[in-house]
Amino acid sequence: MITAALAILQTDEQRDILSEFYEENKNRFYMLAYSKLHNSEASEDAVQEAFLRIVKYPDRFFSIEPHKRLPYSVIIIKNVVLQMLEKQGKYVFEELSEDIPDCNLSVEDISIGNVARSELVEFIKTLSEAKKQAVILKGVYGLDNREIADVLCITESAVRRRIADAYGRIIYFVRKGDR
Amino acid sequence: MNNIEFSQILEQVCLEEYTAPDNAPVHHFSFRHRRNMRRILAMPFSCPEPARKLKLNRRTLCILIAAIFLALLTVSGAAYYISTFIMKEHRDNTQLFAFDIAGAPETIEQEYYLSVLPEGYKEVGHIVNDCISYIKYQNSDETDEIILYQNVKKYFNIHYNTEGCFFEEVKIGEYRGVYIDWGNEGGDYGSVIWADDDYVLELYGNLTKDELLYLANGTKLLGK
Repeated sequence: MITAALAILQTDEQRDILSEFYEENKNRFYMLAYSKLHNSEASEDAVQEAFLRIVKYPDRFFSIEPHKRLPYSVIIIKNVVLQMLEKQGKYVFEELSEDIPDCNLSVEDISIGNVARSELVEFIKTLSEAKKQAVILKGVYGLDNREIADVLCITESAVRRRIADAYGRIIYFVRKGDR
Repeated sequence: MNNIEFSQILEQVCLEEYTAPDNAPVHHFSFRHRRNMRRILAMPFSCPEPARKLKLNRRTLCILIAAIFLALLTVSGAAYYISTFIMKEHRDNTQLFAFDIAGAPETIEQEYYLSVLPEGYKEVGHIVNDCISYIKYQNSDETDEIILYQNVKKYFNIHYNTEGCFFEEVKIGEYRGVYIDWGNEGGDYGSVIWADDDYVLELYGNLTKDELLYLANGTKLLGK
């Protein structure tokens, strides 16, 4: 009986937290979508779709430290927006070759060598949006490829290629800087 | 520099690149969006652990009848039932519960879908967990949508914002349900909510009442 009550309480708490989070940020989420889509209805749909994805995997959202929940949601909204633009023929995701070798590196395996931190930050910002999202979901939020694929609504293979390509570029940039 | 710095660098990129500005102007969200968000945020994230099944002996039945009677007396507004639902009227909303839950499944064991769709519509989203199934259909222009919710009767307890809206009893096949006309904010918007022996179903869309009832009559179990 107590177990049942606790389960319900946890659910209600989560619902309240998520509702509050939505209320606090809905205008900025909408503006973010609108700045790319330039259509009110489509922007509302993008916000809606992003929250559907969050609700679909609530444990992931609630395991994130509160101050990192906003960037996590922004990543999802930006991804939804790009996918909507792609459907409209206004955006094309970079085609990555199937031949890109697997990258089994974790963030701890990547040494930044003697490259200045600010330079590397700026370099990572220049990566394509799709690669940046995948690398950050893995490196900052600790999601595995399957989970990233679920959140971004892409295949696991696409996630693998995006991460491998991004890591390859980052490692190349670091090594070039070391020389 | 140690290796852990790379993860800190990623975190810095994340916080700098994915923090939306705080000065966004207030947007007046459409009725459709507000309603959909209410549904999304009310979706059960995880189901309560199934409780031990009650046996309906005479004592339990008496307690149940007494509880329903007391509930009817103590609600803030009027409470009544339309065939399969108990409806509690609150100041600005109406709460619906399934009336007859005996023998109904406690999880989504079989899923329903719309066997008939208006021209140009296709399925674009599908979420299912133990308590609820949600299927979204959209037209080719992505302007109109139809949503089919399938709820486990035991956990069906939804507040509908019915301020200024119109309720009507309807029949879907051999089952009874309600039609809610949300059109008071413009356009054709409606929900048909009904319960069969196992689940509570809701069909929502920007269609006329007749169109929604036609589609509701076309719900079928997957694989049948």
